[in-house]
Amino acid sequence: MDNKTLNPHESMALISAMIEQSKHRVAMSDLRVSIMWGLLTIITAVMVTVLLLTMGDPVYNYGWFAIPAIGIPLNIFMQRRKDTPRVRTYIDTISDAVWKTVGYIGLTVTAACIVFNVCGYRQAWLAMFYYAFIVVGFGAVATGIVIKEKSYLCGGIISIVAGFIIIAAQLSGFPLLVAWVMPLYIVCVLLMFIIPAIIINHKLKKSAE
Amino acid sequence: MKELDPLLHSQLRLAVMSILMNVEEADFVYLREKNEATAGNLSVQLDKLSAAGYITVEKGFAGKKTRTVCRVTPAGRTAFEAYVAALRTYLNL
Repeated sequence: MDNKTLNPHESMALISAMIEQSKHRVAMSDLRVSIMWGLLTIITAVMVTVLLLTMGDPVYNYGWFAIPAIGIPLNIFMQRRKDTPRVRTYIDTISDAVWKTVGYIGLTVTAACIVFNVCGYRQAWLAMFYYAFIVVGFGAVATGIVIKEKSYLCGGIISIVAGFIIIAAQLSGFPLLVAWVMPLYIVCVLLMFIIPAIIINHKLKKSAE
Repeated sequence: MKELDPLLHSQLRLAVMSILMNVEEADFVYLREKNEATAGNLSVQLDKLSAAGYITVEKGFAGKKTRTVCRVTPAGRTAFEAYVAALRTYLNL
């Protein structure tokens, strides 16, 4: 491309072509991060579930701390290793902000639950369920809206609905058993993190061909 | 009929502005690849757009490598929109 002066038709065509080119960049170059959080959560959930069902000791619930304890350093490490992106879209900014907000809410809720736990109110940990299903679900929905990816949207909506089912179950006195809550949570994480990442990865490969 | 902004009425500068209007920021290498321009020519055109206040050019480092990041300014956005509006009148759109 050089500095030639264009006629109006050429100018309009050039503008359209350039907008089209920069539009092709999908804002999910961070699919690995999404998969990491999804897998880490699923592995932790499976381990905690198995331990709770076989041993029956609620002390194994402390296993949930593996998610932030491993996930946060791993996330920082992955961000550092990643090359600085050559272009940043508004979608990147919104998507980052959404997940940072979800993360900060998670840390705050965890801290609040620890305080309640120390004060002897162990049931406060149920708040983490609502966070995990509903707040994280909203994160997935927001991501789905900004990047126009229906799988994120569906995963998020299913998780939010599951969260409200759990609230309804608890309010109705229906027992929140590990045997059904945990598998439901694992399915929601799969639908919110892993499946959308696989679908987007497939779309990226297809568009690169 | 409105006159077309001469600063934008050049192939490479218009291409750069079109990309920057669509993203929050883009670095020099990205712009060079997308526009298939030489580094020297792109650098000159970026300087012209920057001097007109249409874009900001920020030189920094990404690790040990230098990195030049470009962003469109509010003035650049207004100028681009005016340019497109003028183009529409020329093309009777």
